[in-house]
Amino acid sequence: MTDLSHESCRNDLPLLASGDLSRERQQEVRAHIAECPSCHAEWQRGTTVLRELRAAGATPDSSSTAALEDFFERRIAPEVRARRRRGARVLGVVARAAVVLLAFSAGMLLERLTSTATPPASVPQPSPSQASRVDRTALDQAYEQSSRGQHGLARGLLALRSLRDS
Amino acid sequence: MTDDRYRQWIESHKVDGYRAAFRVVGNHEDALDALQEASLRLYERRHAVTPTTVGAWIRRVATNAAIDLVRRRATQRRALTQASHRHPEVASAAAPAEHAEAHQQVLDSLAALPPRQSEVIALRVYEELSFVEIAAQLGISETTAKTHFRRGITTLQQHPWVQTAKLPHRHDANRH
Repeated sequence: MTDLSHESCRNDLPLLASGDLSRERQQEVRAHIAECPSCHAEWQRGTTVLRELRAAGATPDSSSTAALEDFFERRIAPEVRARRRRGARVLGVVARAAVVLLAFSAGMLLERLTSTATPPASVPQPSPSQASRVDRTALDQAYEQSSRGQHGLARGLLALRSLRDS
Repeated sequence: MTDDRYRQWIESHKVDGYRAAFRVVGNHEDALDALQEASLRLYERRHAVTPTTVGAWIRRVATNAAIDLVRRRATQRRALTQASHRHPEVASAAAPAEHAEAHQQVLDSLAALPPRQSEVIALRVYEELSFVEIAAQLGISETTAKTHFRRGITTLQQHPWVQTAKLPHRHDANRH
């Protein structure tokens, strides 16, 4: 038996079967499997796997490759056109969303710059009897902010339109 | 990258991509599907692929698309086989039509491996690329490519079709 361990030999058996070992390494591994029945059986199985894989791989005849003549027109061009249309639609949606966002931000900025509103007074902690009144104040503030946002969006859109028309 | 250039790439490399896929799937329609898949992936990646690598790229991606197809077909056949046990009238649909049954078993086993292992084995066995070339294509080291190959072959050795195949003789080990 050679100095090569079973583990080291078995590690290289698939590469021996595929012809990917250096000449020196091939000699070492072959010398080992010539004397080692279990490594030899492993080598047989690896060689069989590669042989069966090669046998299973089919080769097309020339008539099949001739059928590729209009492959691009038939199977690629329509798909590429469809993908381009989808891409353009997505881009359109993104662009519209960006315009609305820009208008909203610009409007909010304009609204803030021109607003003369005084900062709201601090709200005292309500007693249970005042709860409904405080809730009412909070609602009013929320409504005010919301309508200010809508107002800002409208002003922003008007500003964008006048920019476009000028 | 213009559309004309993309089209030129496809026209130049479609036969090689088709052959690469056909070796794995063994029939015209599936090979066309795999080539179409590879061509459309190239469209998505057309700015990243270079003229010097496009041929190898299409062959590799067509091979992978073919392995994916074999994997899907095997799953469908298993489902049909199970159904045929319950409903004998679907038994004929479960039989593999495109390849001889023995070859189909081998390719099904290849497709059932982890994707990297089946990819490396297919590139080595069917495309006859060296491990250096495989490593360059996949962006991995040569040692890693060999490890995938070893593990894949070792797994395939456990399949029943290896036991029933004719084994090589002892003296074949000393050939070359």
